[in-house]
Amino acid sequence: MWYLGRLYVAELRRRLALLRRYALGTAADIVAFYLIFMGIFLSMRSVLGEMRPEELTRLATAQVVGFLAFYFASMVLSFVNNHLREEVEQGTLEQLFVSSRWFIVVLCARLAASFTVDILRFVPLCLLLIVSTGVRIRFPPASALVFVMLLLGVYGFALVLGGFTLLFKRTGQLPFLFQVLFLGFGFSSLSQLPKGLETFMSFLPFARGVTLLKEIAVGGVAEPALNSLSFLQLVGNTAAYVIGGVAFFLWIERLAKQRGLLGRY
Amino acid sequence: MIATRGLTKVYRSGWRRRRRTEAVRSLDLSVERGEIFGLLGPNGAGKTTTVKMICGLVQPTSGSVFLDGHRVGGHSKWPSRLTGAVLEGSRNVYWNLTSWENLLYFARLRGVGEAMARARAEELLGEFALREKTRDAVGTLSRGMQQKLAVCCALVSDPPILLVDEPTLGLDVASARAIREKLRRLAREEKRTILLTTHNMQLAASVCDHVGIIDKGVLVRTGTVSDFVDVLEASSYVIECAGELNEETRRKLDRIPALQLSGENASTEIRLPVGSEESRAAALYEVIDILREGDSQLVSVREAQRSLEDAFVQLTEEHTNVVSG
Repeated sequence: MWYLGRLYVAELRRRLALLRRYALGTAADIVAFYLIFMGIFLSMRSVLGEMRPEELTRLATAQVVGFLAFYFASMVLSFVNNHLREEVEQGTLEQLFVSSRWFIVVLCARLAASFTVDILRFVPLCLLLIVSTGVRIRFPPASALVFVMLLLGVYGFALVLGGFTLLFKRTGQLPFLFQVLFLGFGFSSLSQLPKGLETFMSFLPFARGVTLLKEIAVGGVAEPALNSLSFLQLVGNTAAYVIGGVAFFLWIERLAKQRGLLGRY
Repeated sequence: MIATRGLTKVYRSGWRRRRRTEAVRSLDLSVERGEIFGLLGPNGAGKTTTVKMICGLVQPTSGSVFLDGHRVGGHSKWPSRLTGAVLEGSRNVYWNLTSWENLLYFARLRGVGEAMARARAEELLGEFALREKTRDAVGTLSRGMQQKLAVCCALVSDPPILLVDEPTLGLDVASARAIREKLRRLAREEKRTILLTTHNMQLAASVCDHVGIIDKGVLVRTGTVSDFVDVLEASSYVIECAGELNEETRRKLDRIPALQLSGENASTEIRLPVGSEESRAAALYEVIDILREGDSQLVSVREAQRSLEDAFVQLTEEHTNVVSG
């Protein structure tokens, strides 16, 4: 734990240093995410026509929550993949493996640091969305548990994608495909899908978590959602993805070392 | 400090992974504390694979690596605890961070405490004459400075073993000399064990206590630099005469074993390899007597030292001949 804390601080400082150095890119990211959301929100509103204020609030709340969940899940999903690719391109990946006993622990600390920095970036984005849509989101503290479960599940899945990147280096649009899927879940509901497809999709990371988050935000209370069967399923789903993701990544790491592929691009 | 026993790496490639490439074969290596060991070899000889197996980046097919007596394997803690590595073909450090940020980052990554990390970073920047560049992004530094910083980052956790793969590759003369001096000092004064790989003979001859020549994955020979030069009849006399030698003189000289005659109309060069101290003078006098009898005009006599490079070329050629049958 002590080492993990130290790693976290190291990664946080590295991230903050880069954030300061590339402030323009940081601002551009926030503006890009804001424009994507407002584009989707306004087009949906124009398609749905005139709505009663309470219906509009309900819709906007679900959309803002769905979008923010997508924002973070998308960051976590592409995190492992992007970091591995960046490190290989920069020529520093092997140095990371040499300098640490468990690379996966370094990745964890990096994710935690990235997440912290993204929370800092999230505050202005969230304020922008609230001001633009006129919606006040009620986000009970207990819903943070659902949020963390959702992100951990996505992290487990990201480790699987990262494993492919470690071995094959170029995985093309693979993470992007899943990001598109997440975006779909962020703005629509699983219940709109045919029954069989709904069951299948609910086992993917993100889907069940975002549905629960929307329920909590729209209802304004977390307890019913946390006591539901859906939450238990989310916990089970997350545990399976995390355990499976870690096991898969470690297996791929061993394979890459056997084949001498760690630093080769 | 560093030992390998029967270290072997076979890469498999192609369809169904049936094509075998033996990168390293049964390598037995031993490097003592405070010693600089140079692994010399042509491109593709297996030097980098050996270094990567020692620091845990490549898993050996068979054999073992021991660091300070601890066997290395799987997610062993010893490579990251005992070694620092500067790898060839990698940048090793983050170009978008400053020298200072890089040093602190790698220190923290290796579990060094904050106060210790800062003190160590200060010390290394001073030692390697990088203090003026502390706040500069690494991408803006010269190649030599980047390489020095990579060595600093490898040393930031104070590891007793340093692995450096082609440390002077692509560096200008002054930077290469600075790196050589630093490596020497690290071994002599700080008693660090250094394994370096290179195909730069000048580097090996100037800093290494022991060298090993590796070719096609096989360690052909190990020894001190002078061992190599001696064993391969390192020195020879070069005798220069004006004009061509007459037939009788040539015939007499041809009887002397290993003597080589060459030259054009203007001069003749006689190369006389010499072995032991006793036979050295006798052989020289014999040649001079023959030249005097043949009325040859002696221009100069000098001793030509064979370099490590000559030894390296000869050994790798011999090994290639043996392998190709």
